[in-house]
Amino acid sequence: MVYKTLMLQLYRPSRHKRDLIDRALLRYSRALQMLLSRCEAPIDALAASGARVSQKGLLAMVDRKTSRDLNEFHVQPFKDSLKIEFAALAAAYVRQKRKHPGARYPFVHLDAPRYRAAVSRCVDRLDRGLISRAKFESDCAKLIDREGRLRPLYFGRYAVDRDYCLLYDEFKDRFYAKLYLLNSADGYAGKTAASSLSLRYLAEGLPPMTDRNGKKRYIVVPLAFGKKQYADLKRAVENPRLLHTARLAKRDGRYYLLVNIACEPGPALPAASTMGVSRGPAGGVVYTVCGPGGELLKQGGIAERAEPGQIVYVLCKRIVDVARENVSQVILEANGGKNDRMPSPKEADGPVLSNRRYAELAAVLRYKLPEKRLPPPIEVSANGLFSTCPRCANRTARNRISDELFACVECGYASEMKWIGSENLAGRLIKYRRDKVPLTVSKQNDSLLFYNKNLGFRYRLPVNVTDYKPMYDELDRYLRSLDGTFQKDARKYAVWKKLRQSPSVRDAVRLVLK
Amino acid sequence: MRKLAVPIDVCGRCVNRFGEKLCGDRIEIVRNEAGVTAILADGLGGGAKAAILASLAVKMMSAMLARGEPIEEIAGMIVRSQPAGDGATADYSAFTILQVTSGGAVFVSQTGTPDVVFLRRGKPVGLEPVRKTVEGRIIRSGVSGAGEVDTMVAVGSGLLRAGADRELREGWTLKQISAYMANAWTPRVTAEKLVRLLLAAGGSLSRGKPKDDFSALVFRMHRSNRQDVGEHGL
Repeated sequence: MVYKTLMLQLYRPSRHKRDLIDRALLRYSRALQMLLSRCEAPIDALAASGARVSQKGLLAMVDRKTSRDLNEFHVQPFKDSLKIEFAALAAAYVRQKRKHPGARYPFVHLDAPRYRAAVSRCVDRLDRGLISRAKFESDCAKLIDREGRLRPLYFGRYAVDRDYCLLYDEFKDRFYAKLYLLNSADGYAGKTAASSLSLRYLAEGLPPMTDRNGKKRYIVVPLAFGKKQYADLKRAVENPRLLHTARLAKRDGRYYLLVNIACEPGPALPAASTMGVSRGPAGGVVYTVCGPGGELLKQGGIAERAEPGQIVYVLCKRIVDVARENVSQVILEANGGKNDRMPSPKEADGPVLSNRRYAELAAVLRYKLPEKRLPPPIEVSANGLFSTCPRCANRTARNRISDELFACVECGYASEMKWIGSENLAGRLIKYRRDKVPLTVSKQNDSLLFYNKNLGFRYRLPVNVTDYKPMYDELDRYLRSLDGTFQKDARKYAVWKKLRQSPSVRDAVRLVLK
Repeated sequence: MRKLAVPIDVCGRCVNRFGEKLCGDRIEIVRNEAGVTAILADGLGGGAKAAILASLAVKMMSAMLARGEPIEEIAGMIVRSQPAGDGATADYSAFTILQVTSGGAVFVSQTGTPDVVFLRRGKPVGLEPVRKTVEGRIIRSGVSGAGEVDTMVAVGSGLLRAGADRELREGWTLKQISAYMANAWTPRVTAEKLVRLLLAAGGSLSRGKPKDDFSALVFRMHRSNRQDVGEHGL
């Protein structure tokens, strides 16, 4: 399942509600920091031991006493969330520590006393000449930036009577959030602001919200959002199961609810073409769209200028537009395009897309394409992508005449180097479909032995039999015998699947004489 | 016929401009006692006039070669027999004459065509031609010794225009052709394959619709002990 995050603004919360939210965020941050501080030693020991890290093991570090101590922060409504987030932070730290021994222990909240102590330590180290002035300034800047920063509050589940849920007023067509921020002791009496509205929970059957007597542990706030978020929320009205976890965050004095919602697109359209998208030697990405027979339909480059954090989304939008226009199956380089041997000309038009950014692009396309009812992208090996001939698949560095010119030394195909990567990707699926499975034939004692090591198939043709039909029948029987069995070997599975999908086994194999 | 000191594999081919029935380029290969001689005639412009001029140059070379004339003389005679004036005002045929003698010497004489690419053991080397002006046109002549596995590549000027519509900063020039031939060269590569590669690359760069006639001629010296030496004509 693919998820995306809806960013919904809490629309003009009253002073009372703002105070409640601020207090909840502060309590949550302090409680999480307490958990991390208390478990620092066992987590470091776990990182040093090299033992397997499990969520269960990490959660066990929060013993009964620690759990009771959390109550001092009045964080009873978020206890489960705190533990889950603590386990996630600890697991990430252990992974980092094992990879980079210099990794720092996570630090989520710096309160005033800790801030003063940290600044004093910095000054002391500078006085003793342990750090340079530049390092001192850098460390102080980091502390000032961290001081008082609040951790977004994590809601680990979507529920009508705890954590958080969304509400809908069908008459006013407005959405609200119900946030459980208080424990039973801190609850307040009185009607909710929404008592005059006809609110319904976004839950199975859209039950109406009713005010119960007693103290209230939650607040109800209206939400503000854009057109796209509105469309997603309307989908959630029809299918509330799409709503999952959320975070409550404060940014620039405004409050936001970041809701994770499952993307449940309709059935994917059958692809009418293939679209290879590779990194571009001159920056951005390059695409080639090929028809079902491999004929070139469209070629182009996408090189947008945007903030580093936005470039992936800008490129993604353009790629999705082209794929949608041509109803294409998008094919990407695997592993962020590592080992694609892309040339890097000195006169590049823009910054070349790094392997990391390309991998991010692939991750975003994995859910953006299904949203538009296109099949998810296929990622194929990028090894030698820019030195492989798109026509004859001959792979050698001698195919590169210069950083901008490609000419195959086997078939004579020539083109600009920048198109080669995407052309290869666009043709990869067609090549896979055309390629036949090799079946090796060797002569042994007047009889012929047919075998395929990947598939694990062996068949000896009886002596003096010249018709290969018994061999094909046996191969067909063997393939059918594997139906429904789990194939651990990925190669065996790939060969079996290819042969089983073929209408005729005879047409799907080629005999290779040994 | 006297056996050559070094077996030679020669191949030359032309490709018509897209949609054109007549080819303005002609290649003729002649084997005789003196060695192997080939002319690549490139009729400037296109159509019937270019084809006639190229054909005339080829005929003259064949006739003069039969009389045993040296290729410098043949080149001079072809230039003198063509209409006077520079390329901008008159129609004429550019040409490259390549000769490898049975003694193992290479003679090149050319005018108006791109320089001959000389690959010595797969590496491009310069021929350092001598320039001579005849009837206002410069004839470049070069002499060299031919060793085993040496390769000479001559192309018509149309092939250089194949990459005109492509987004190539350096273009598809003789430098790129020379680098391509060096990359494609292997000790066992045949002249026919190199010619095929050059014409295919030109065709690819012009997206299957050549805007000019393409022609390529390759001389390939083989090792002395090889028996499978062939000749691929037009």
